[in-house]
Amino acid sequence: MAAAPQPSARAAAPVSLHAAGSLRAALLDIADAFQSETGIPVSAQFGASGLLRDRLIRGETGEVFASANLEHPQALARFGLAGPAVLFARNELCAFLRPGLVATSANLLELMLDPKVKLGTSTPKADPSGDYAFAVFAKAEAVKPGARAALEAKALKLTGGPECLPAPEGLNVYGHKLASGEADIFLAYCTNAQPLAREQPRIAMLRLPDQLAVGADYGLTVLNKASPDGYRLAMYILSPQGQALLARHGFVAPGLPREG
Amino acid sequence: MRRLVLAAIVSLWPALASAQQAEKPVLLHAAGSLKNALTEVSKAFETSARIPVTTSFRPSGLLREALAKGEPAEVFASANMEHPLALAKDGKAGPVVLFVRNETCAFARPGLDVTSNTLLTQMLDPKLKLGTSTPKADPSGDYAWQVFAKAEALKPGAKAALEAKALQLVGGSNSAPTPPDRNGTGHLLATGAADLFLGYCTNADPIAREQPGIRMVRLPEKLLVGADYGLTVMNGASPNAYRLAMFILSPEGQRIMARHGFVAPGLPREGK
Repeated sequence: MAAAPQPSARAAAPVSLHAAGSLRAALLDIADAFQSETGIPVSAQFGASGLLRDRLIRGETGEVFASANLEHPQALARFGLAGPAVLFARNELCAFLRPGLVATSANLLELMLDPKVKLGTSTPKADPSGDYAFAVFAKAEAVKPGARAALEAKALKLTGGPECLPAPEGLNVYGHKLASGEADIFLAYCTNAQPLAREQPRIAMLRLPDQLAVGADYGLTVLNKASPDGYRLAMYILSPQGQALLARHGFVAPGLPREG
Repeated sequence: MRRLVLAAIVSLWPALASAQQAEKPVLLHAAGSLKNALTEVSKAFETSARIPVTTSFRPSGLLREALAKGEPAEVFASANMEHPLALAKDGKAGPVVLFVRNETCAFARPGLDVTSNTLLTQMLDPKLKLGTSTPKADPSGDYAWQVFAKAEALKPGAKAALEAKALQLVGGSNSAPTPPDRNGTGHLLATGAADLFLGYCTNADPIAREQPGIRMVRLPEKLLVGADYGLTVMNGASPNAYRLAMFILSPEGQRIMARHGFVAPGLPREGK
């Protein structure tokens, strides 16, 4: 849709968007759609949610903050820096297997515990994806006593932290870590399935068994100093158009109208 | 004059007491079916954000007309998506967000024996008065008409028969008003204006309190009609208005909506 932006809107200042790395592809699509509908450009930056939260708390200028959990935007609200946090998407944690490694939901935990298998996760606290991986470990304890400590001890925190090596530009970081042999199994969001299928078709995705399943509620907030356009972007992400784009990228989108 | 001064002092008092700047109230226009739930959400917002809210509850279709004609407004919460979308298309409002769902249920007057299985037969029974809200003016009426359209697939001829017999008792600009502090559906069934009434399932709570003899019947699967409620913020609204919109969508607001019988899509999963 090449709807001509309003003359007044053409000169609009960009809205600033801070968002979790796992939202990159979906929110770039949404930012494009928002700009073509409203004429308001979006200046987006992506990173681990915990690090973004810290930067915003330290006073970095921001308008919309979309996090891979509800806690971080709620923390900004508690600090008096932002308004109410809203759940705008859900994600789940999946296991991704390096090419050639075979597993099923039934023997996944055994394999994760195998000392010969390198288990990759993101970095807890800095990146909610790491927190969710550690939540999986806590659930594993109920399935197999001792599993939690063993998994926490062996997990390689390969992404999400301030010192982690980024993937080569344009490549999915988990696909890169698995293909390069740094990890045999990586616990990461199920929404990575799409980019991985394109970049590394031999990497298999496995849903976690029910006892280990951990879901992520993604939260969104608008910072107090935001412009009305910042609020509009937030509402757009929550609207059926924004929600449909999130769903296309594999998220569960709670604000989709029922079919028909 | 003295009264004016007094009023000014009284209205300033809470602001002085809390050393807060007196905030201009946020305007909230909302569907009648949201009255109980959004009154409670507004109170919770006033408490946590210290921003007052002025509410106006009317049938959504009438609200849309009023807002399209320029009645001052900030947040508009409608019993469907179409009305706020129409305001957005006219360039009067921003993006529309689905913030709750409601379902249509049947309510039966005291003493009338109805189940989901017998419901359609009884709706068609010429001896039974079937009440609905007013289509177009009130989405609840539109949803009743959708139920009639679905009935056609179960029983040919049902649609025309139901449309012809339906009594449009509420929701229109000429409908008789409901006594204040009474649930409209409960009142109509208790006074005998209708034997069966198609209304939102969220009426169940107030009706159970006011008219315990009235029973609620879920529609059978094939007649089920649900309502997606849409929320928008009017262009030119204050930042506080956007905050109220976000509060309605937040887990705190959604929890209150769920307690009033709505399906609240923004609730975090359990254990949080």
